[in-house]
Amino acid sequence: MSRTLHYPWDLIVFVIEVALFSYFIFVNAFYLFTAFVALFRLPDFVKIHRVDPLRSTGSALDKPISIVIPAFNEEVHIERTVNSLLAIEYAASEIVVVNDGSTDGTLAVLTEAFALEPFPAVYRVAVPTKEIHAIYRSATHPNLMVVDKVNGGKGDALNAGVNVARFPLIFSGDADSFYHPSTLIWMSEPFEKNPLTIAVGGAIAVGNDAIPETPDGKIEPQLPKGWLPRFQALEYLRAFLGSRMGWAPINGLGTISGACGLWRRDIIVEAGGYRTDTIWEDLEMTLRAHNMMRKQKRPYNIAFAPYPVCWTSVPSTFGELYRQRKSWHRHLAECMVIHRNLLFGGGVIGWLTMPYLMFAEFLAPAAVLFGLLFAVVALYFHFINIYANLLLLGLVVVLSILISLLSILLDQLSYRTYRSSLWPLLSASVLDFFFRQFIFVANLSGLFAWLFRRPFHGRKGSPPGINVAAYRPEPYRRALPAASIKTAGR
Amino acid sequence: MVYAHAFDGFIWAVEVATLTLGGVVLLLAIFVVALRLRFDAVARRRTKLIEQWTAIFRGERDDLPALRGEDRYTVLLLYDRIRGDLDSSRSLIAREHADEIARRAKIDGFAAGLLTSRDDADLIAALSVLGKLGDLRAVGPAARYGNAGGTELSRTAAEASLRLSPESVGRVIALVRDREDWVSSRVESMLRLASQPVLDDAMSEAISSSPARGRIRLLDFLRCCSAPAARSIARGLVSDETDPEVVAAAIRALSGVAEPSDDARIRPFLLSPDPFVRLAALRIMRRVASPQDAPVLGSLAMDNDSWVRRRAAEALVALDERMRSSGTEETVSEADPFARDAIVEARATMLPVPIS
Repeated sequence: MSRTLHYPWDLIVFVIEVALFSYFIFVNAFYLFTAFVALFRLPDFVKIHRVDPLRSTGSALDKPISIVIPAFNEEVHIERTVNSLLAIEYAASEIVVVNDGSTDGTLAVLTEAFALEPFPAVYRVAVPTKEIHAIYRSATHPNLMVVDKVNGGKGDALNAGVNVARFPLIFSGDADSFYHPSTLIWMSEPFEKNPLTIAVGGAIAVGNDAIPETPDGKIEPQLPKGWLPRFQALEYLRAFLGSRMGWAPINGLGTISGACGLWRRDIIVEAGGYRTDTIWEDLEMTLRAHNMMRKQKRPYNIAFAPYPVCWTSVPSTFGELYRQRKSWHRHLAECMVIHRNLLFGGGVIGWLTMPYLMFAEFLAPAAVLFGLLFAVVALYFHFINIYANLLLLGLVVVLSILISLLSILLDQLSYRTYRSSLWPLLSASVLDFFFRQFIFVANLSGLFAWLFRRPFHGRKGSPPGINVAAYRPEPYRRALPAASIKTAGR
Repeated sequence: MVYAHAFDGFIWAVEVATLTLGGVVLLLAIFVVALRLRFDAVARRRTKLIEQWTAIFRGERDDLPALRGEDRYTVLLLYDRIRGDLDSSRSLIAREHADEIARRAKIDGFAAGLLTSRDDADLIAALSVLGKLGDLRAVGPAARYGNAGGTELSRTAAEASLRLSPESVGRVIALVRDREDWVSSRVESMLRLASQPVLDDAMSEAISSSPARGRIRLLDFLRCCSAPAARSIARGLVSDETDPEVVAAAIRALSGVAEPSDDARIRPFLLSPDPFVRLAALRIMRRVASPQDAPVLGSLAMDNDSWVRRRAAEALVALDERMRSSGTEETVSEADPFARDAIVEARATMLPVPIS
């Protein structure tokens, strides 16, 4: 310390410094823990599947899967996405595209491209949804159905798809993503190997310059050219290979991504369907499944398939990215409150995943803000050592690069998602620290949006056309009853 | 001032940690780059090798180039894949040619060497290749790992056993029954390798001696047996079994090989109290129902279980199609709009879709 402080200020400053440092160690310990678990598991997984590859056998014993794709104003991408889904090699699958009250030509594009005709489908309303206008079936592809309904948001569209779906497994995807032909073969494997499996998440890759322009094109696995998508490519490697591959073996997976998730239909229905009063739906459904199974003391498994089967377009401007991350963080805040009873509630989800989500994700922007304010005040009053601060900053940067490098290593040891040169990824990992500061600002904004209950206005690239108020339960309750989760907001 | 000493110690620790981690990061970056360069070189070499040896295995080239040690694993996996594809093509000449090339390239010796490995992937590759080559050196390891290995290793070992010693069918079927982690479609492909008369006998014995859960699992694979054997086993269970889940599984298994005479055997199950038994019975009735079944099917179209209603509607529409009639709606109560809608949907689903 550059200036001598007297009791109790020296103690207070010391305690704050120790607390901030402990927090920093705590967060990075999680990242390193999952990265190392993945490092031990992934190479073996890849090696086994290299000598014993999963291939389509066309067997009637494959579990039938309904692919549900919610679409709102997706006239640009929908034909390409559906074509990629139709090219999926799997014996028993159907595709249910849910047009969630689009105001553009989504339905017209689908009708023209796939020769849609009205279809008199009957289905059970297992979960309530907004009104369905009509159901269509493709004359050229009888396993393609399109549900046209009143706009109700992504969760509501998924619920409509769940109602219409006929098969026991539901694959939820995005209308602007591109899927590998082996998606269902690879992702259904955990259901076959472990009957306790209730959901499987797949890995997502950044496809800004990889997704073909034409509806019948093929994926070109290359890194995006822009810096911003490139940072996100690295971030996705960290999130999927470095993090989820580490959480899955200990059954601590907190999120099954909405763009690439395979669920048991009966679990979704039993949980009450996707929630429609939050702005995103995937994290909430995953935590709800954990919550429900734990409350009922039923053994279960949530698995992860590390293959990069889904290629998605990520924001390429700071404005889009800011809005996306702000809404993601608000959703995280909503989920942390809804499922707060899981925190320290036992099991890996209670003792590891939820503390990680709560302290390393949800509260991270607040902790960073506090750390920055403390550093500024401390520097101003000269009671902190500048050298020590720079040193700590150096440690943060080095650890950030280390975790990014571990994720790149995991990718190299497994599927080498991007076939282009490695240098852009390596340089992105060095500069990633600065990118993450921008993300912190967006997350902080999301935290405030949730705190002050600012309504969310749906935009292109965000949840379909909805305006939802920030979700926070009115009175504090010790434990949120499952029944209220099931029907709240409907 | 007490804290100042602690602070100095802390600074020292952070300095050491930062420098150490900085060094680790640098080494890791170099390692990742070196790894990538090596992988790129291997991938280029492997692409050429696969192209060359695919042509050789398929008989498109006559020469047999010397195989370098580092390339043997790639060629071994390539042979395994090509030979696996040829299993379903039924081309005996092509299979024998691929096997002969593999032996001349000493793939069998290399694979036998891998049997001592402790790595599951190596063992899987070795057992799979030796099984396809009919190499008896794999008999012992195949029997050992069939019961003890992980999911992929045990299934590959069981497949090797089936290829190498036909008398192992009974043991393999017992494993199929007990190893619920084996992917069903892969098990089906595996069982199709077995000689059918042997498989028929072994399946019949295994089903009769298994508990209910095992029977249900094995009934899924009855499709791999000959039609008469499958019919006989399924009919036996339909007649004698009391567990409704086993009965439903037996009816499902029978549905693929049912004969018109089976309608009398199945008809009583349409009135079973268990919805899954009714559902299974409808699978057969959809193919064999006669006009006298229309009233029962009509009442099932108004069943409490939505899947029974749907399948009953489909059976009614199928009956109409076969009888060239259109009276199904009359069998369904006016008061049940779901049933009438289900019939409309079934008709739209089952009739050929017009191409616009």
